[in-house]
Amino acid sequence: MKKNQYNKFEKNFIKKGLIIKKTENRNALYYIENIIKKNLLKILKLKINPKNFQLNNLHHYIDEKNINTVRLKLIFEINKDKNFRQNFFTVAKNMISTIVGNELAMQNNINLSIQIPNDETSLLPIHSDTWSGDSPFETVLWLPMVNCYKSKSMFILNAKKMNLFNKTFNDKKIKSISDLYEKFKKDLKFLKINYGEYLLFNQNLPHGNLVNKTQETRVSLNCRFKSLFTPYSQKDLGTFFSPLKIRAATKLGLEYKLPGEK
Amino acid sequence: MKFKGYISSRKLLDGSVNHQKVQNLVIRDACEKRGFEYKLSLTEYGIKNCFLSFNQLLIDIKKNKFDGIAFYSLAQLPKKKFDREKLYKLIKLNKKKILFSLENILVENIADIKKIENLFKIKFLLKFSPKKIKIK
Repeated sequence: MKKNQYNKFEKNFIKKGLIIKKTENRNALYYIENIIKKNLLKILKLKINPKNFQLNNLHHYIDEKNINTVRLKLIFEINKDKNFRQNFFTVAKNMISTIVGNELAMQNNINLSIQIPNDETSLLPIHSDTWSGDSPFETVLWLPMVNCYKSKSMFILNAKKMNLFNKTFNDKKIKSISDLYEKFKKDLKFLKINYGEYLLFNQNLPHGNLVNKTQETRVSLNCRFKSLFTPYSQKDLGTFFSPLKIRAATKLGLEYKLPGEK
Repeated sequence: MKFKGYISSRKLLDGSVNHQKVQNLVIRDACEKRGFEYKLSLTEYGIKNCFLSFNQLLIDIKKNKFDGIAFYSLAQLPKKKFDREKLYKLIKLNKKKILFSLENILVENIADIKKIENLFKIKFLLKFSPKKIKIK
């Protein structure tokens, strides 16, 4: 394969494992935000004008005890909305086509994270999605609904350290996830990403989050995309992914019958 | 009582593989039936013989972050007795509880530990037993 076959975005993604860009379709972002707010107000039985409802202040209305119930209800409701998936994809459609491909599979349910300040119950310790049943061919689209910075955001390993990380993983001194985190703490970077931007990242790179020590709540969405015909792991086609875009030639191929075949 | 879920992303000792969604549902149901508060599961990594998440749970439970661990199944227990003993110690010394959701077994005292240890060993050995016996 020629080295110059990749454009600047692909080269950057291969090198750094992530891309942060402005959302490609602002209306899609507003649609997503509106559905989230509308459903949150319904779940929390709040009578506030959605325009005045600040997701940054969500911790004023929920606590550690009900956060997961609220989150699960909200995930159910947003995924019930028929246009939510398409709008989510539209936010980074061109970049996904560039990085992942033009025949795509998309995760069936878009995930939503709520990280209220000082909550220890909603943490995702350092991990790579491939360690828990995802295929290495997947890419994550991460969309913040608020400005994210420091511990309000997520961390990711510096891609340059991936080889060292893999070599060190079996070190006998590393017995728990905390040991693993401590060992690589200095190479983990918290991403600064604002509302109106999206993050596309290589989920093979170890990532996670810590207790949100800021005074604001993080609300973010994440969803996996992969090229339709690349290998699947435990999270397979049908149960976890479904086809998003099938090209004309593939459609013809799927419907093809040899002469005489019924 | 707060129970932290523990699910797996690799084949279990009995050879079964279940979707994480299903594992979580089984744990949630088992906790609900016993009136335990279920806390988001920690997932064991798929890497062979890796127990980083299991060990993390042992650290966190000692810090009293939760009162018990809700395993999806007994077949998630580590093969090495030394590692299982670390878990049993929590029950003996720290008065913590372990729930095996699929089997619906709650382990809370020494008698329960003995029962579970026997069951685990037999279950593990069954893998090597013949599936059929031909009688001539």
